[in-house]
Amino acid sequence: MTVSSLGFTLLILTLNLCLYSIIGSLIGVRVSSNILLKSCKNASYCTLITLGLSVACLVYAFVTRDFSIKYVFNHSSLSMNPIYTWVAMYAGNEGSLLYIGFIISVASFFTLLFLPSELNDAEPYLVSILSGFLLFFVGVMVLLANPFETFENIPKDGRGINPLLAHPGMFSHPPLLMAGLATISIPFSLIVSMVFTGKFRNDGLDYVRTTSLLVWSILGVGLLLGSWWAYTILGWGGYWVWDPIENVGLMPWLIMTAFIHSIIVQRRRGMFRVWNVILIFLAFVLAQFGMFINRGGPVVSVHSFAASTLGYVFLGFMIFSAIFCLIVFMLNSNKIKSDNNVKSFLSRESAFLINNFFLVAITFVTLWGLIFPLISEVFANETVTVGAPYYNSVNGPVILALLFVMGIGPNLSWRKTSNKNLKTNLLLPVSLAVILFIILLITTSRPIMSSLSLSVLMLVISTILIEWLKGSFRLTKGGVPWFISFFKLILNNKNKYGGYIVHISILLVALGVIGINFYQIKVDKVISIGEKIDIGNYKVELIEIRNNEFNDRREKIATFSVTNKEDELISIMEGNNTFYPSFNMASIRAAINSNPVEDLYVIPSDFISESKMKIIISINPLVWWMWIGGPIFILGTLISLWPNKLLKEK
Amino acid sequence: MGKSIISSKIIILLISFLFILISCISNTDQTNNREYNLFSQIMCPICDGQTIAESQASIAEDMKKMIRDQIKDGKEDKEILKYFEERYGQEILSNPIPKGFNLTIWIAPILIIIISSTITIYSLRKNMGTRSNNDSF
Repeated sequence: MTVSSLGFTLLILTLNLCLYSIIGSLIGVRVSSNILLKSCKNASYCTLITLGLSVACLVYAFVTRDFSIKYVFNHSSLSMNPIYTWVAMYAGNEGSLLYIGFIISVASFFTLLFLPSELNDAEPYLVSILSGFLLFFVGVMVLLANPFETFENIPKDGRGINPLLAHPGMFSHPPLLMAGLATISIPFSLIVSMVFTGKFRNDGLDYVRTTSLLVWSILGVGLLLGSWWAYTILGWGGYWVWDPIENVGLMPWLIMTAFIHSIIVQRRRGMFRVWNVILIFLAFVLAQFGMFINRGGPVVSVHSFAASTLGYVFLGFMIFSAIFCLIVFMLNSNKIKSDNNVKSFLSRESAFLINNFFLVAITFVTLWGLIFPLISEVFANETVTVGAPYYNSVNGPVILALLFVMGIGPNLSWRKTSNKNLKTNLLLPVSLAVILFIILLITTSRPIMSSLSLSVLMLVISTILIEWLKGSFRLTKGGVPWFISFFKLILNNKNKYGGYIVHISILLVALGVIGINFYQIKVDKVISIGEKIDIGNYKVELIEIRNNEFNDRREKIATFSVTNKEDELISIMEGNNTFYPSFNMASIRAAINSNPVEDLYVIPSDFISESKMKIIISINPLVWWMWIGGPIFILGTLISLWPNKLLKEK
Repeated sequence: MGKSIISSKIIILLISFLFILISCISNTDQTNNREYNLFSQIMCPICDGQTIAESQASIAEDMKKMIRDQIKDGKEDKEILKYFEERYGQEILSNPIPKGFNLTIWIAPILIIIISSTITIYSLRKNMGTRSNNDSF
């Protein structure tokens, strides 16, 4: 048996397991047969094994360069860097479907394994919904996009991986982003099955929150890594250009962000039930929309590398999901009424409501910009492009307002806040923000929006810190140093302070965005060896140009030395421009010298001769903080996820 | 009281830190950025979804050169954009021209935000204070 036929057989096996567990679970609920239900659950567990082996087959085929498989032929070659053969399995359409299927089965496995007992009634529905979702992907692979399709005549060498993907980011960004989008199905199916059993109350809500936080953080980290990837190379337009493919990843994340906030309100106050159901449905449908756009959708993008003719299948699935959600919602809307209402505009719950409102608004603006070219084509018969300026001008202010709410929200108490409390809590932060605003306004000549954004950041970060410090002083009794109680506080209320840490990470990302949007300097220059160019506080000198020839690519490496105005050496940095003849494509890596104040960023855009080249030099202030935000984001999420309640119960 | 002094000290430390950070940022004249602002408003006609600021295609290079020449000739940004729009059609611009049907791209989100926030506030007002008997947990 060849690897390809083994892999395909395993896919067919998975297909049957899925069908069995869907139909079996539904029948099992009808006839209340526990044995059947258990067997269906086990069938769902088995998909982890079959798909895991199938993935192993494909990876094995890549690593052993088995070019009898078309997919391996299309996405690898003998001369490619061997390290990428391990990850080339998700470089194209078919393989990434297999990867997504595998992730769904892994996630379903753990979801079912750790399912709390209060959700036992919902389990059969959960099994069938998850299997149904997996069935779609496996079905598409078996019928339309088989990753194990073979050639009659085995070619000697493959085409090679898309040059743009030969980057360290390939190991983290695509797998995390795809995993994040695919696993939105987990909180989605949990909630659908809870709604089915009429149990969308507080039972199991912690579990929904845990899974949502996990999914949300995976997606968030995936997005940030993509941003970092796009930042380090030329071709994807910079850290964030509101490209359609970026947008379809961002939208579900925004909605999930709204969801993980409003689920807190449901847990604490029994409110927002209907709204939470709507949000998770929206997130799920938007994730399907993302897959549709990514796989042959009608919108032009820089990185639709996984483009295929499967667009309409995914469109169909998205429409199916939307109709499914609508029916579930209409049939069960009486079961999900809220217990309470918002009592006051000055309350924690209304702050959450406003936060949700802004997040949905940003999502809507993004979606509208994404589909507007199609709308304009149909209704006005005009072809237009909607690029970054639209999104920045419309989303920018809304995001700023959202950050503002993020600062005020934690100062409001549940139900109703007294004006007096609010005043004492906000007096210091607001006055600090105002002072900073005035100083910035006087000392810099930048647009007013930049000073405003920085002041809002100041406001938010100081509210968080003041609240934190106050808490730790309260905890300080009997001479415990306040900085020890500062950390003790985190352990006492992990949800809250984990949340604060995540908020701080978002602020750091925002700081980077503000820096690059309002303070960037960028110039095109021609530079010869030995020549020095002055920019900002730096002098950049081209030291040498090296050529490296490989079978599949020609690398040109430019080395620059960076000195300060006093000619003291700061660093030596390299940028490269790699041309792949078989793709007729160049992959250009920037030379970056990064510090907390600013990045000196040099793109070797074109080599004119052996000693002369064109470069784009820019100074990107505060970007360093954006990438620091990533680890802090993960830290914060981990702290909020750390299971203290679970341990106590057991 | 000593504690609140510590906390305000920390906050003041933070504000000065942020301020120092901002003031360290290289500050050179902005003339070169005018070029880049224009580059990022014009799409590369042969690339998918890239502006000429990012594109490596030779046509993008030519277009950049044309823009530089026009800047030298003392043309306004608007005139330069108009020039490209006339040659390549509206889709060459990375932002729709704010007139006619295109206005809906800005109006629709703003309208929807206003309408939905009004509805939300209205319905919250209406329900506020009712059903307080369930307020036990």
